[in-house]
Amino acid sequence: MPDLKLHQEMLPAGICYIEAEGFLDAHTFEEMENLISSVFRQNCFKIIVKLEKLDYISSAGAGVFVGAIGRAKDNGGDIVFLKPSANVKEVFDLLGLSAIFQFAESREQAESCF
Amino acid sequence: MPRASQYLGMVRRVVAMAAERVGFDPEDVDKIELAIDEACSNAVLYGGDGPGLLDVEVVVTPQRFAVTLRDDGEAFDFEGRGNFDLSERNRSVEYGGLGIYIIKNFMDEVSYRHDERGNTLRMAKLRSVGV
Repeated sequence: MPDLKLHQEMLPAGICYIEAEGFLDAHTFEEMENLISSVFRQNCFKIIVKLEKLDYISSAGAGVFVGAIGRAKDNGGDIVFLKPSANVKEVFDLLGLSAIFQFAESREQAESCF
Repeated sequence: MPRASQYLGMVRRVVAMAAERVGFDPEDVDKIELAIDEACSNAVLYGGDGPGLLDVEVVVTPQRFAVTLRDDGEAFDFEGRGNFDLSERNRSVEYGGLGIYIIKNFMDEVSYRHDERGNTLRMAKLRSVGV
């Protein structure tokens, strides 16, 4: 199994839906960074990231989202996390990041966040 | 470990397993794992070009769980970085220094030294009496 597996699809209403599985750390963060950059280049700034199968995140991984959320919001979008795993949610909480991101427990709820 | 990012997962899992084995609760195990991963990541990302080795030593005593990292990279401003209020920091898109913030805040004792052989970062988590 690769360290990080990413799946991307476009939803109606111009929302990009990304599923992340594995580990988002200093070894893999560039894959996520490149994917979000390519989504931005398509003029899509509403992003849902499903983190249910993401087992681990470090500051390098979290930094990708912190770096991206400003640009997303500046362009009328946002980044919403869907069903973060307990490990990942704990890191977001410990780092105080839960206050600046929206979290959702269903895809419908996530879509309604925009 | 070789100074390459593909080994980070292996090192953090070994350290976390050791911390769990000696009785730390899951939240402390996660904090130790994250702090050691951040320290190793900094060494890998900023520790110099080309192949090199990062020496990771774990010593467990009745009082503490100590991890020492040594590498031959350039000196960095460990004391001056990572000293911020996260609630303020998160409003900025700039994100540097968070790894050092994690190391300083998730471990109980931290010391940094640079000499002619390179960097030495020592981090320790105190163990509860009787564990």
